[in-house]
This record gives sequence, C-alpha cells and structure tokens, in this order.
Amino acid sequence: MMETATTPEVTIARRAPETVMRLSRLGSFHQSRLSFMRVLLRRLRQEGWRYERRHFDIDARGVGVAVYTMHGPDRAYSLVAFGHDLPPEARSDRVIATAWDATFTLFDGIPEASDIARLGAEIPLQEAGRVSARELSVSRANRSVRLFDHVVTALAAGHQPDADLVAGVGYVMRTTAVYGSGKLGAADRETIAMRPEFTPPFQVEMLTVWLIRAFVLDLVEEMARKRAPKTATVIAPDLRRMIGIGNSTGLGMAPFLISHPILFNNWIMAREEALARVRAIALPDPARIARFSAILARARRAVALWQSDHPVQIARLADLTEDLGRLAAHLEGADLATPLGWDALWRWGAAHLHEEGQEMLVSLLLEPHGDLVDGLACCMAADEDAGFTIDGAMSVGRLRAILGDVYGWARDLDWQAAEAQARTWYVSAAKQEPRLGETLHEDLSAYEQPLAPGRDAMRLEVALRDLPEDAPIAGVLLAHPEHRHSVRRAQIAARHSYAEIRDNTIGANLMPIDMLRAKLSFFGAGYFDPRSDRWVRINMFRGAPFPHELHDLPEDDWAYPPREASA
Amino acid sequence: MIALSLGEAEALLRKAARGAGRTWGMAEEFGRALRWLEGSGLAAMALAADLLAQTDGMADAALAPAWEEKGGLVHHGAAPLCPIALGTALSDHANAPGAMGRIGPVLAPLLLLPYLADIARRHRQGYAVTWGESRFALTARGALDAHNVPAPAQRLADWVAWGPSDTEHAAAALQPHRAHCPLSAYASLNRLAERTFAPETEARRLSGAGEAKPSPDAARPKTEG
Repeated sequence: MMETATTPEVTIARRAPETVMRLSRLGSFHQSRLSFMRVLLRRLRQEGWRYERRHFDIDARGVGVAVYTMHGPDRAYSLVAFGHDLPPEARSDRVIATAWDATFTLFDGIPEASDIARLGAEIPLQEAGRVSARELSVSRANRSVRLFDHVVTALAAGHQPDADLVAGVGYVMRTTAVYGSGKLGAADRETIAMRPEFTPPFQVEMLTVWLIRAFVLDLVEEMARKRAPKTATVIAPDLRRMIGIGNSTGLGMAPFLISHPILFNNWIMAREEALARVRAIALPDPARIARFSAILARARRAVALWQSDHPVQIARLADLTEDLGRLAAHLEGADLATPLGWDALWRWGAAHLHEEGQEMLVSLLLEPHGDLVDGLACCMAADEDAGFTIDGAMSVGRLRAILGDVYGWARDLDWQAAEAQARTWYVSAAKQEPRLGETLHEDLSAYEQPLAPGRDAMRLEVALRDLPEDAPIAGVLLAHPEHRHSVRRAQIAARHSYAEIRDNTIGANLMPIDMLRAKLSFFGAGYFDPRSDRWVRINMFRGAPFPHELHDLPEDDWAYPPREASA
Repeated sequence: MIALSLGEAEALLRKAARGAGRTWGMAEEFGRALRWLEGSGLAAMALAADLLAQTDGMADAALAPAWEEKGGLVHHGAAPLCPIALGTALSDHANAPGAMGRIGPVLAPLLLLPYLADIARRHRQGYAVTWGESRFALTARGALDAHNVPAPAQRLADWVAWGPSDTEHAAAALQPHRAHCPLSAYASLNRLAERTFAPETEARRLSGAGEAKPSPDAARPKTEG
C-alpha cells in the first residue's frame, strides 16, 4: 500500500513560475501541511516536548506576570507574559500604538527572577524598549472587544460562552506584531538557526504565538475565577480549542516577500515540489482517497466558518464555496484509484476551479501524503546571503536573456502609463512603517523604497540597450551603480525560479493583501478577513491542541475543524 | 555604547547609506559589509558613520576607481576612494584568482575587508591585506584569520595592498554576535537614515497605511452553513 505512494514511476514538473507567481494566485493560498505552525507542532509532538506553567500570577483585572516553558530534548524556551489593564480608548491595532493589553517575549531558556524584572521594565514598552540576545521574540496582543468580556462574564457566572459568538469571532485576543530575528535587540536568526527546532522558518514566532494562545485562555479563566470564585467555570475543551489567536496585519509585512527572494523561493518551491510529488503517484490507494474525502468535508466546514465583510473576500469565498461543492460532486463520480489518479484530479481542478479552489486543492492533495511531503519543511529555510555577491563576469547578453525570462511580463506593460506606476512604496517618518502612496497625488520619488523589481528591471534593460552582448556586467555596474540592486535580483532569480513575484507591485490594481495572504498562509494562518486593500485580520492556531494536551490528541489533525459541529 | 543585533546594524547602515545619497544597491552593500565586520568581531560602526558623514551627498561613481583594459582597476585622482565602492568594484571584477593589488588613497580601509574575504572564499585562496600599521589575514574560507594586527581604526590610508597568502590559522571562535556602536555614531547614522523617511502629512497619514474603517473587531456570526 505504501509502495504505490512512495515510488512514483513518472516525473511531473512543478508548475511554472509564470503561473504561480502572480499576485492574484499568491493571494489565494491556504495553509497546508508545510505551514510553519503545523511544522512546529509536529516536531514538538514527535520529540516529546514537555509543557510547564512555571509561574502564573494574574489578578481579576488581568494584570500580572506568567511564565510558560516548553522543555525539549536539548533546550527549553519560556514565554514571559505581562498582563495589563488598558482603558478602551488606548487600544489600537496600529503599529503606532503605545499600549497593549498584554505583552510578551520568548526567552531562550528558563528566566531567573532577575531576568523577569529586567524584562518587566522593557517588554511592556515594545518598540520603545530594548531586549538582549537571550530574548528570541517580542510581541503584544489586544483584547477582542466583542468576545473577551463576554467570555469572562459568562465563565464567572458559571456558563459556557455563546458558541455562535465564539465561532464568529474565533479569538479572545489578537496579536498586533510578533518581532523576531534581531528586532529590538533580540537574538539574530543566525545565532539560533543551527538548532534543529528553529531551522525551519519562523519557528520562534510560531512558538511564541502558540504559547500566547495558551496564556490568553488561562487568563480569561483566571479572571473569571478571581471575580467569582464560587460560581466560575472553565471553557469546555472542544469549544476552547476552537479559539485561536487573532492577528491584525498591515502593509509592514508586504515588503518582506520582495526583500527575501531566496527564502520566498524556497517556500514556493517546497509547496510546488510537494504538489508535483503527489501528482506523480502511480496509483492512489483507497485509504488515502478516503482521507482526502474526509479532509475535504472538514475544509468545507472551515470555509463555512470563514467570514469577511470585505467585498473582494466575499466574492472569493463564494467562489471557494462553489469550488469545494463542485469538487465534492466530482469526487462522487470520479474513480481516483486509477493510474495517476491524483494528477487527473489536479488537472480537472485546474480546468474547473477558481484560483481560490485550485490553491485549496493543492493543500488538500498534500493532506493524506505526509510521508511524501512533510520532509520538505527542512528545505524552506534560506541563507539569503548566498545570493548577495554579484557575478560581475556575467555578459550583458546573458543578463538580457534573464531579464526576458524573469521579467517578460513587465515588457508587456506600458510603464509610461500612469496606472503602471500608480503607487509608491515609502517609509513614513512618523513610525518608520512601510506605506503606499498615490504617485499622481504626491511626488514621493525621493523616498521610494526598492520594491518595484519589474519596473526597475525594465530600467536596467534600457541601460543595457546599446552595449555589446559579450561585455561583462562589471563595467556596467561601475558606470551605473543605480542598477546594482536590479542586477543582484536578476541573478538571484536566474538561480531560484520562484524568487520573483511576476506582477506589478506598484500598479493601480495592486492589492497588497495578496502579498500579506501569501506570507500568512505559509505561517499557517486561516480565516483571512481583509479590512481594506492593505490590512487583514487572520486567525492562528484555531483548532490546535493546547500545550497541556499536545500529546493526548492526534498528530497534526487540527488545521480543519472536526467533522461534526463541536462549537 | 549601544548593543545592536547584527540585523539592526545591517538595516541601520543600509538606510544611512541611502540617506547619504548612495544608490539602493550600494546601500545594501554597506549593510552587508557592516554585518560581516561586526559579526567577525571588528568594531566598524563608528568608522562607517565617519565615512558616510565625510562622503555625504557624493555619488557612488565619484568615489569609485576606474577600469582600464591594461591596468585593471586604477585610481588616478587625489580624492580618496570609498572602501565600499572600491570593494564592490574589486568583487565585480574578481574573475581571476590570486591577483595582487595596491590602490589608494582609501577611506576607512577596514571596510574593504568583507570584499577581500568574499574574493578569498570564491577563489579558495587565502589573502593578506595591509595598510599603515594594520595587517589582516583572510582564510580561503573567507573568514578572518586568528593572527591579525588590528591597529587603531584608520579613517584614511594612503594605500591598501593585498595578495595571496598561504598561511592559514584557525579563526578564533566568536562570541554571540552583537554590534557595539558608540552613541555618537549611532545618532549620526540615525540622522542619515531618517532622510529616507517621508515627512508626515495629514493626507499621507490617512491614506498611506490604509487603516480599516473603525469597526467592531469581528465579523458577525453567520446564521447559515
């Protein structure tokens, strides 16, 4: 049975970058087995990581300190959480906020009292504070106005919270930033990247958020208990598990995908390789087909829970709902247990489903094939530095060919037209956050960030126009240092086919939320709820086991809601 | 002194170099060079702040060497070269292994080391680098050799010379990476970096971040499905 799945007899090519690297498709990605939250929890479970709530001192208003530690085979990590009582008018999801309901850091090891005292003076300040190389992340969260008080009040009175309200909101607190990788003085990634638990990307951040979720649920239960010790109850485990951590993300995240081309390539490459491996399976086996159908049913429940008020997402959700219905109907009549049956299903989907449905189908096809695809998670990290050095011996002719191959789409655009350069990426003086300006309304060119690779590649092409084919690029760079960043990107993209988004990142039609969603889907986030074209709310770890029950529940079976309604 | 992570040091130098008028590609070079130096245990933040202050507003091309068919990279003028402009030119033209070189005058010559280290790595050939009282050995793996003579940081060298060198000693183990930056240099770099930020206007504040309209924090529970 396993042999048919693990010994593909044919090779199926990965999808072409021209197909995958379009913004609308990247903006249709969903979480999958390769998402970093799932990678993390699989490892913690397989390696037997032990959970310990070392310290928990929280009062009836939610003010106090808590320490949550995960003990691994070689090292331990501790979330240090500070609860605050914030007046409602001070609560803001904007990165420019200065106060939060709770603040956090992930500490490398087990903190001493002196560490907690030091962190208590810095972490509540967030960007205005400084941390040390002992800290791996800095984060903060705000209460959900609709759900937090409701849950505390209900629990204090001895009732369960309203299940429909819990299902509709999905979280009681949402993070507004999770900083890692050396931000605010924290440890640089290279100091921890060699530890196996942190080799895949964003494992520090995901561990932080998972422990924050545990703290937040403990927090509401503790507040209820402190308020009404005689009547208070706790949340029923199944309902409790359906509460994730919200996250509110704005433009700040979008440039990341452009400024980390090799890393982004490796994420996409792993996912495309996973799809190609499943499509290449000679003969699908019945147990896996059954698993696929079961997951599809659960995915349809997830889509039913997924709500948004944003017109773009409402339309996409309608497409997705229709797609999954069509997929379920197709499965009833199709026999997958035929040679290359998964590939046939994929090709049917590519012909009949919207982009939302096609990309969901990618995720679903990976589900029954953990043995084939989970190992790819280790290939998703990147040494961005490896692409830094420019090959000055490359000829002008070769560079021209690369530009045609990678940026061919940009040749088809009229870059003189206003809509082609309608936007300017810049950084605001106020809080040093990336923003998007309207080029027509104000000249921000002096402040423009290098986030328009397609346009810049076309400028480079113009500079190369009259040069001989065999001239080395080193001479061009000496005369035209303004093209240096574009030459670097082109050489990276020539070696990493999914490194470059093959779409206009400054056009009038740009929806920055497409870039946010692509990144967040690799984190493992779901329930994308755009609040504008550049601002999205999501849910993380919804359905996941809590640290205390990680080893009691099935492995990696939480990303879709259970088949029967539990909420 | 402020202790920065290497990521912070790199980002600060990238912005400061851009703020001082360098192109984005060259600004990336500043960031990466400082990351290498500080990560190798060489204090270079103050030197870089000096260099950028001294060359503020100058174009990359005015600070770079020239290329000649016969002589390779040369410098005829009396105005000193920028080590980053020189380093990138050396790196871009480093096709043949084992080349010797001597060029000057060069500002903040320490900042040339990351480029020679990278050339050493690419050609798997150790290098010796000298200027003034300083002598540095770079291993064929592109790391600092243990036997270096780091003289006080020099803001200007009449010339820098380098050539292949076979001696290779194990590089000293490095402590956790931090970039220690004097506060005056930190302030000066930040002043340059701030030039890359667009001044706030009310219109920008309202439109740029695209903040969602004020609304409750959650969608309504669905009545169906």
